[in-house]
Amino acid sequence: MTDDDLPPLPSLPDLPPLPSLGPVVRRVPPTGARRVWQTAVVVDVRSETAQARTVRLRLPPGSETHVPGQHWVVRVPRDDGSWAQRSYSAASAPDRQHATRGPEIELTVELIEDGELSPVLHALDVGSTVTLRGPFGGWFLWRGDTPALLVGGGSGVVPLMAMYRSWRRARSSSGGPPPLRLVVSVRTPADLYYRDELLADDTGAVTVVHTRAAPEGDPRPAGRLDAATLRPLLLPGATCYVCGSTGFAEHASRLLVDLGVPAADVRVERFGPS
Amino acid sequence: MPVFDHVGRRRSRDPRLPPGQYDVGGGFPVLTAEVSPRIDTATWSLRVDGLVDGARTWTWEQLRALPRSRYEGDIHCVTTWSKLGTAFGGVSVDALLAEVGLQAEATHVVAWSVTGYTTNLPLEHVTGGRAWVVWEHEGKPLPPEHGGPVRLLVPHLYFWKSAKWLGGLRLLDHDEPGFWETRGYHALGDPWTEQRYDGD
Repeated sequence: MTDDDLPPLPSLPDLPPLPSLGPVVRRVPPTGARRVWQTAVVVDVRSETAQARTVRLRLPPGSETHVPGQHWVVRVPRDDGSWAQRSYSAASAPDRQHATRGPEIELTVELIEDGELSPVLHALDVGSTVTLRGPFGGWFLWRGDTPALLVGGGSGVVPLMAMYRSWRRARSSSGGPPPLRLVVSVRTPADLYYRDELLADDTGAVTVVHTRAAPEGDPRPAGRLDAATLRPLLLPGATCYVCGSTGFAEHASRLLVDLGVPAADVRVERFGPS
Repeated sequence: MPVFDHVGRRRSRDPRLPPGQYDVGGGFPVLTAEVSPRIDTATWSLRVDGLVDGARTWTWEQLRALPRSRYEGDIHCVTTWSKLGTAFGGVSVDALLAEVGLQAEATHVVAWSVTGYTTNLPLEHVTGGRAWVVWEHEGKPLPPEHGGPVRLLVPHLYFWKSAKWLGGLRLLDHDEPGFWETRGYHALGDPWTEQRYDGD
């Protein structure tokens, strides 16, 4: 998507300007720019936890890939002829351009036993096809041009993982990206998505907080994410990205504001049940 | 506004459900992009200005003294949940506009929140008994996470148009796309024709 900053829209003279959460980022062309449904092929599946699986999908050649934080809408047919659709954030860093195939994305899906989408997505195998469209989202995304503090609860780590992975990859290039920190809050060690990758982090950017049961030897006892944990992780000028359940998002975003982070620098995404 | 999955299997479709939606039942999911503000009704006010004969500001007490109006029906979120047969109480936007007097050039409204969130609406979508400013849900005060103390209610459009934590309405002679409308979502958002994203 084109996201070039545009000047603020004109309002009316002699009136205070309308409030804003930031500059207008996009003027929609009158003709629209519809994202069409596409068919993607599953090229890999793996378990993240007992309840979560990651599905790696190959999109058709020439497809647009995502900016870290963006999501895709997946649909499946219902018995009554209608479609059920849900949004899933990409967990992977944006794929590079390939001459011979379309870009690949990874979606991590939490299983909801009586859900409409997730049991279907959990039953996919390599070679299965998926109908989806995207990428969507023009707010909860990180382009790598500001420091970033990422705070995720449970499955809320998914879009933050795309940001973290993108940052890791950029670190290996010259110049390097602005600083980034990732805080993940989980109930127990078994609930941590991307466990091996996060525990192998050697950049010092990753903090895992356990709310119910901490692993043996963890200097931090199990407990809710708190100001004492977040305070030393604040980054001057950072955009903060908070993602998780409504309860977690309310709690974490309030902690940040109470620690002095301007509310305008906190972007929130709430994950279901929705 | 991504969301994970949820219960929603149905054998036959409720005719009140627009295409692509499911019935969330007793739930009422919360979806917002920004930090929930703390609003004190002692200092909060609602302002209606722009292309009106006389701009006005109502305090919490003054707003609640206006003739009451109630909506009972369905609401539809672009993230695909719908909540059927739910009730909100407040005042109709028609009543507020009657108090300020519409100028003939007014064609659009921008609703704005104290957080800085904005959303745009053609005037005909907030008049004629189609929109409310509400502070009650199911007979109880509207909770902060659902936009309390006061939110806009435009139930025939996707719910991002029903701005939470409402601070005011501004009447304009042109369209000014709001927060989501400049970030990939549809300009109008009619759930019956699935106007979810740009170009839908």
